[in-house]
Amino acid sequence: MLNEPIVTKRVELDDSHTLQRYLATGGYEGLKKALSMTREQVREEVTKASLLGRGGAGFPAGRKWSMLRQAPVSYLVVNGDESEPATFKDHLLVERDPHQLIEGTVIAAYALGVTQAFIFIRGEFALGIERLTAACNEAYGHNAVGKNIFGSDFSVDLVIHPGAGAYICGEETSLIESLEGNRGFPRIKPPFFPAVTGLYGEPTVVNNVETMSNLPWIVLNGGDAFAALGQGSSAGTRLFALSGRVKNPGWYELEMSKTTFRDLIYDKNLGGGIIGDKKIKAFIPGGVSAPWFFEEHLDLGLDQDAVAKAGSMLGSGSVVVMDETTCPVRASWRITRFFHRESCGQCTPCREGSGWLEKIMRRIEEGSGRPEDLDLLMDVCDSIAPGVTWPPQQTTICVLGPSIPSSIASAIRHCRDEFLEHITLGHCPYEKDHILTGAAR
Amino acid sequence: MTDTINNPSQAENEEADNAVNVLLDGVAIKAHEGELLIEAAERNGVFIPRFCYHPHMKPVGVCRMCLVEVSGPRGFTLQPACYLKVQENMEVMTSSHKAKRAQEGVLELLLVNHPLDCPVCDKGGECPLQDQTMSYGPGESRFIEEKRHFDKPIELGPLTYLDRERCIQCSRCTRFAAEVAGDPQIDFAGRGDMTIVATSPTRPFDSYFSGNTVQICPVGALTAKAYRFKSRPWDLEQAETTCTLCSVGCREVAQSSAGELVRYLGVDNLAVNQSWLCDKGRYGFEAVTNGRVLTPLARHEGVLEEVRWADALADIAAGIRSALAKGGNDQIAVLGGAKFVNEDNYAWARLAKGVFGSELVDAQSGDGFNAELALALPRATIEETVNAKTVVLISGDLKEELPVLYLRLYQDLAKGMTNLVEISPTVTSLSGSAKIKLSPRPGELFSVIEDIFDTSKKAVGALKDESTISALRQLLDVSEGDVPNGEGEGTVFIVGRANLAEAPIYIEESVKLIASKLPKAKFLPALRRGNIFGALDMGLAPNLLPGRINSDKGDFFRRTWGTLPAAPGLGTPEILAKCAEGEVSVLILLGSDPLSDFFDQELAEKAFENTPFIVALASHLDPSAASADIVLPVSYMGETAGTVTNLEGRVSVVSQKVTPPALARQPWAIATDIARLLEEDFGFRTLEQVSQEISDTVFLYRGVSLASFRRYAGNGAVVPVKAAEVKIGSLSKSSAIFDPIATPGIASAEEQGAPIKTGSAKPVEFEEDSLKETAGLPGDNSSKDNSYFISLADVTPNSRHAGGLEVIAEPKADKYGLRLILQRDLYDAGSTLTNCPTMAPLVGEQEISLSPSEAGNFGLQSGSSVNVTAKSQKIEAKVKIDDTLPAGVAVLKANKNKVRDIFSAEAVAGDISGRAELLLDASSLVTDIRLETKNEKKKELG
Repeated sequence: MLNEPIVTKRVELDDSHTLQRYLATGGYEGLKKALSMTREQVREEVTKASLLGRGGAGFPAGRKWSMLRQAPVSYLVVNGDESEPATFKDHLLVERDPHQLIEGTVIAAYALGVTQAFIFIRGEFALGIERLTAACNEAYGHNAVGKNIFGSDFSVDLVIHPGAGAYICGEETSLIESLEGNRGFPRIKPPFFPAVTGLYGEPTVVNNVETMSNLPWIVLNGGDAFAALGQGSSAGTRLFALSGRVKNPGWYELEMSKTTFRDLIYDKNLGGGIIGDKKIKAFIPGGVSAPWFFEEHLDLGLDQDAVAKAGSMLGSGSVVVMDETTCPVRASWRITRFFHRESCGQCTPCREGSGWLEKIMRRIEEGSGRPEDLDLLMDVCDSIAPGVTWPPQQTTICVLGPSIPSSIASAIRHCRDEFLEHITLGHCPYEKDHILTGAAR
Repeated sequence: MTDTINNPSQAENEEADNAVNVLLDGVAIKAHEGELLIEAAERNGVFIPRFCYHPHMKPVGVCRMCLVEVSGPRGFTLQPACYLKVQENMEVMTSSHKAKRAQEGVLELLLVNHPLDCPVCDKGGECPLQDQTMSYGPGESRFIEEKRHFDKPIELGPLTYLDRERCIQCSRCTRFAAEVAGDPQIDFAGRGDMTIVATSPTRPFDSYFSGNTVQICPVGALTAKAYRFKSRPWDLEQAETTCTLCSVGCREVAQSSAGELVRYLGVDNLAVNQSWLCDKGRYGFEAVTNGRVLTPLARHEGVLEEVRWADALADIAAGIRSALAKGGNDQIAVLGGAKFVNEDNYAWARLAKGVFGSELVDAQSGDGFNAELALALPRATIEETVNAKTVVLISGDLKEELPVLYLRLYQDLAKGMTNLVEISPTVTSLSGSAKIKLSPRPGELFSVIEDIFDTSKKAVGALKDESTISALRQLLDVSEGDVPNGEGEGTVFIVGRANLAEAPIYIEESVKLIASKLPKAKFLPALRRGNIFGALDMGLAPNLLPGRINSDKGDFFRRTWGTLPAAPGLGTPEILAKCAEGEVSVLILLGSDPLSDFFDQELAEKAFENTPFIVALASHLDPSAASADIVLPVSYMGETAGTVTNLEGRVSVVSQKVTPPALARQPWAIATDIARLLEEDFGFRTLEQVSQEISDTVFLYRGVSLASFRRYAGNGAVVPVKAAEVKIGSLSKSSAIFDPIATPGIASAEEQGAPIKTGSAKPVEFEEDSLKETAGLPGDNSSKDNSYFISLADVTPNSRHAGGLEVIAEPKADKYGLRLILQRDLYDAGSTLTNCPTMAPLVGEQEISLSPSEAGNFGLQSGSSVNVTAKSQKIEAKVKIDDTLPAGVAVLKANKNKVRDIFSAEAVAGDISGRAELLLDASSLVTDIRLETKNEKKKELG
C-alpha cells in the first residue's frame, strides 16, 4: 500500500537498533543535511510538510515550534511516555529504531536553536530504555549528539529520562513537572503552552516520539514530498496500532487519509478481518480516550479532520476492534478502571468521578445494576465533561478528566439495550466469552 | 498597609487608576489590576464557593469548587475563579445554570468518598464542606457504593491527627507547610482517589506551625490533639485577643466552652500574623488549667501554706515599710512584667518607681539588651520589614524565638523581593534565604560590624572575597568610593541576642554604630518575651519612665506620682548581684522566674538565698515562686484583660474569656492594694481607669486606651498614634463577608458572623476629646515630632565596661576548651510548655552541638552523652554533630532542665542536670566550656 515506509523501514531488521545498521541504511544523513541548512530552512521544511503532532492532540509541529518564546534558555522535550492501553507505536520506534528518534531530536534541537534536549521515556519500556540509552551513547561517540555535531558549530546535549510509571506524565505539563523532580501533576492553564513557560519556567517545546522520528525523512526528502502523501492537513504517513478482535493485530504505517478504517481492519494485508469472521460491534479510532465508532464509520478515511467531524479523534492512532462477542459494558468498565487508576488526584471531578463511574460500571457488569444507573452514569460524566460532547468541555485542569466519559457515553448511547440486559439478567450475558476473566480483576 | 491608620481617599484614588471593569452577575464592578476573580467578587459582595483557595497562599485551582462562567474568545467557559485574574470587560456569571451545575457536580463528587461522619467530627458545625454543601450542593446523595477506607486517625505529628477518609485533597495543608512555613514535611502520596497526605517514614510533621494546617483544613481531616472532642462549635464562646507568649503579639480568638478555654485560632490580619499562629501560641492555653497557684501562699516554718489575701498583703506591706525605712531606692527590687498587660505594668511601675522610689526595676531577664537603646531605635513595623529592600538579621533564630515573624519573612523572602543579610554565629532557619551570611564567632560581632563600615578593610570577619564584601556593603548602603550612601533607607535591622553566653554589650555597641552610620535605617528589636515591650514602655526598666522617656525628663511623673528614683537604675544582672551580696531587703517578682530564666544560675540561686523577703506574683508555681516567701496568684492568658504592646510598638487588646481560678487576681489590682496599704491611693477601681490614666498621662499612648479599642477590635495601633492620621475603624457587620474558609471555625461560633477582617471595618475618627492635651504634658498632638521620646543620644553609655570598646577583646580559648553559644529554642522548659499535656513531651533534652572535627577531636559520637564543665559546675548533654558549625565552638540550649513533668510517669522533679545556665557567669563577656566524656576524667587533644 505504501511504496516506502517513512518511520518503519528498519524495524524488521534484527539489529535495527545499532548504530552500524543505522548508518548502513542511510542513518544520520538527514541530520548532516539539516546542519548544512539554516535553522529557518529546516523549520520551513517542517512547516511545509504539514507534520501534525503524533502524540494525540494532532497539533501541527511547525506551528508549535513557531510559538516558542525567544529566551536565552529553551528546551526540547521528547514525550515518550506512551502508556495508554492499546497504544504501542512509540514503543516500536524506541525499541527498534532509537537512532532515528535521536536523529530527529537533534534535527529539531538544531531547528529550534536548543542546546539541551530530553527524551522522557516510559519507565516500563525496559528494553526500549536499554536500547535508547545505548544508542544515545553511540550517537555521542559518533558525534551525532554533543559538542560541535559533525564538525558544525551546533552542540546539543541529550538526556534520557525514564518516567516513574504514571500515565498522567504523558500530559506535557505533567511531564515537565516530573522532569523537574516534582509530583506529576498537570499544570494549571494559563500559560496554555510550554512554549511560553515550560521546563524550569523556560520556553519549552514538547514533541512526540513519532513526530521526531519523521524529521530525518522530511529533511532528506523535503517537506513537499511529505505533504504530497496523505491529503489536506493529514499529510504523510502514520503508524497505526491495531488491536482487539482482528486476525492480524500489530502496527501498520499507512499513508494518511488514503486508507479507510474498513481497509485497516479487513484488508488481508492489514488487519485481515475479525477473528472467526464475526460481525464488528464497535471500534475505537484513536486510543481509549476517544469516543467509539461503529459499523457506519468503517468507510471513514484515516484522516484527522474526517474523524473529528464524525465525533471522535484519530488521537494516538491506536485502533481497537470489538466484535459481536465483546461486552460493551465490560469494555468501557475496563477503560474506566484504567482512568480511575491513573487519575493523578489533583482535580475533584476526575479524582472522584473516575472512581465513582468505575464502581457503577463494575456493579452493572457484575449484575447489580439498576435502571437508574444509566442516567446516573451520564450525569456523573456530565460533571466531568459538561454536556458530554465531542470535542469535550471540561471541569478539570487537564484532558484526562474529559477522556473518562468517552467510552461510557459511547457504550450507553449505542448499546443501551445491552446495559439493560445486564440489569434484567442480573449477570453479564457475555460472561463465557471473557478471555481474561480472572486476570482482569 | 496598616489598616488602622489609613487614608481612604488616597486608597480610592489608587483604585480608580488601576481599575479593571468587570461585569459580575450583570453588575458592573471595579476590580484591581491583576486581582484574582474570586477576590474581586468577594470585595463586591459575591461569595464564590471554594476549598483549595486561601487568601495567603498561591492559587492552585484544584478543588474546582469555584468554577464560574467567564466570557472569552470562545464564548462563555467554566473557569476557576480562584486562579483567573480579572481582565478588562470580562463578563462573569457565578450562578448561571451551567456554573451552578458545575458547583453542584463538584460537591457531589467531593462527598463520594467523604465519610459524612459529621455527628462525631470536630469540624461539624463549622465545616466549609458542610456549609457549602448546604448552600451549593445537591439535595441528596446518589452514591451507593463502598467508600474508600484507611486506618484512622493516624498521628501525623506530635500535635496533629489525620483522618485520611475525611480528606478532600485540597492541598491547603501541604501548601501551607511548603510555601508558608518552609517545613515541607507533609505532601501527597498515592494517586487518584487514593491520594493521601503523608509524611516521610523517618520524620513526623513536627513543624512549629502544624496547628495552622488544622485551622485551614476545610474538613475534619486534620484535628488538633489539644482540641479533639473537647467541644462542639455551637457551644463555643469567643473573644478576640492577642497572643502574649512572644513579642510578635499575634491576633487570635480565644474560644471557651463551659467556662474553660478549649481552642485558639489565628485571626486574619495583614499587619501582624495574617491568620497564622505558632503551635506554642495556639496550644499554650492548656497551661491555664494545670499547675496553677490558686490562693495566696506564705512560707511558714519553711513550707508554703495557703493564707488569706488580706494577710498576705499585710505581710508584704510590712516588709516593704521596713525596707523603705532603710531606703526605698536600693532596698526593694522589682523584676519582671513581660507576662503582664500594660495596665498591670503601669500600676507596678507607678508603685515601684513612684511609691518605693526604687532604682532596682527591670522587666528583662538579662536575655535582651539595653532597654533605653531598644526603645530609642527608629522602629520598623512587621509590614515594613517584610516589604523592606534589605533585611539584616543580627539576632537568634527567629523561628525559635519569634516564630510568626519568621513565617512572615520566610514567605516574603521566597518571593525574592527582599534581600536578606544574616549576621549570626550559627546557621538559622533563614540562612538558606540569605544573600550573604556572616558568622562572627562569640565576641567578634562588634569588630565585624566595624569592618563592614570601614571601607578600607579588605576582609570582614571570615569573609575575604572582595566581590561578596562589596555586595554586602552595597546591600547595607555603606558608601564605598563614589557610591553615594543612601543612609540605610529601606533597610530594616532585626537585632537581638543570638548568643546568651555573649555579653549584650556586643550587640548594643554594634547597633549604636549601625544607627549612627545609617540614620535612615529602621530596627525591629528582637526582644522575645511576651509583653516585654509593653513592660518597657510602661517604665519597668532602668532609667526609663512610662512612654519611652528618660528618667531625667520625668518632671511630670514626679509631680503626679510623688517621687521618682534618685539614682540611675540597674538592670537584672546587677540587681541580682546586689541581692546576692545581701544588699536588698525585698525582691518582688512580677511573673518572672530568675531561677529558670536568668542566664547565670549560680548568681540567681545566691540572690534568692541572700534576700530576706521574696514576693512572687505567679500564675504557676515555677521554681522561683516555689522559693519565694509569699506567692500571690495572678490571672493568666485568657483570664486577663487589658492592652499589650508588641515588638513593633503596636498596642492591641487582650480580652478576658474565662474567670481566673480560685483567688487569682490581676496584678494591677494587687499593686493598687499594696499602694493603699502604704497610704497611696492610685484611684484605680477598674481596669478602664488604669487604661485611661495611661492614655492621659503617657504621651506615647495618647488616645490609645481600652475604651477606644473596645469600639474596634482590629489590629491595634502602632504608638505613637499621630492625631492627624488617626482613623480607627468600627465594626460594621454588613461589610464583613462570611468567609468560612479564610477564618474557619470562628464564623459558626458566634452568630454566623465573620470576625472582623482587615479592610472590612468602616473607619471612624477618634473622638476629639480623647486626644485633647492633658495639662502638664509636653508636646502637641498634631506634631509629628518625636523628640520628646528617648533618642539614641539619651541612651546611658555602657558603664560595665568603662574603658569603652577596647575591652571587648576576645579572650583566647585554650586547646581543651570550646567557646559556648547559648541559644533559645521554642520548646524550652518554661512554665507554659511544661504545664501543657500535649506539648510537655516536646521539651527536648539538653543537646550540645559540635562541629564534626571537634566531635572527632573529643572522640564523640552523635547521641553519646557528655559532661560539660565550666566554673567548677558540671552538666550533662547529648552530643549532636552539626556540620554547619565551625571548630572551636559548641552550642547549648537555654532553659533545658529536665521537665518537672506532671503528665508522665518519668517525672524528674527539680532535676537541673542539663541546665546550661549553671555554666555561665554574669560578669563574663564570653563563656568557655570543657568537655568530659563520661567515665573518663579528661580527654586531651592529640
